Amino acid sequence: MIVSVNPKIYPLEIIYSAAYVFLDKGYILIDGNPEEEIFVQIKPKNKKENLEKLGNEFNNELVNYAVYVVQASRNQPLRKAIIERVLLTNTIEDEECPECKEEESKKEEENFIVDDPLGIAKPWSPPKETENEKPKNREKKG
Amino acid sequence: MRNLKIGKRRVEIKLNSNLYPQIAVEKALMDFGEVFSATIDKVDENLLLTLNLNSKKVSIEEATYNFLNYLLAEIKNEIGKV
Repeated sequence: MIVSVNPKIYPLEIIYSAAYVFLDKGYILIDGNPEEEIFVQIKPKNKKENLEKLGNEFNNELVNYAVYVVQASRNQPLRKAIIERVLLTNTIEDEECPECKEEESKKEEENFIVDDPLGIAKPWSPPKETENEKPKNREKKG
Repeated sequence: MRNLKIGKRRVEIKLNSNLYPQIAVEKALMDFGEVFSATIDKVDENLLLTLNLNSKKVSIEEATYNFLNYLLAEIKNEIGKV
């Protein structure tokens, strides 16, 4: 089965990609002039395979990859912008904004404070004695 | 196929070097070193490969087509952006 492809409509990389899909189904050999006409020879591995169907499927793969390339080139600026934004966001937090880190740690501390209207949340250890509250019997008798 | 002459133990392949870059062909031949002994010649834009089958485990036809498919996969992965 030989499929003729116009390289001005389907560039070489699209032909390679479409042929790559058919590596499992058949043996591929590409020939011709890349500036005028390219011939893709497909020899099916399974001899019962319908050749016309195989050729039509190859043509569909060509269209598939051609559309993919067009869409990818259209979306490229958008993809680039998204990735740049993602990377820049990380670097600003880490390197350029040390104040942001302090604010974040303060917020985290505030989140630990719990509302305690009944006064339950008290420490279990006894409060430390201040010097004024020390018992008098401990004073030395002179 | 015009560009493929398969004998009992030897095969001659003519490949357009614009479609099958020489460096990719050489790499694929190196990877198939156990299967084939190869010589490469270049005439105009074509690479002429002469492959002698070393292995007795596979038929020459199967080894040749496997080599061509392997070569195509290599090129697609190297060149193809899609």
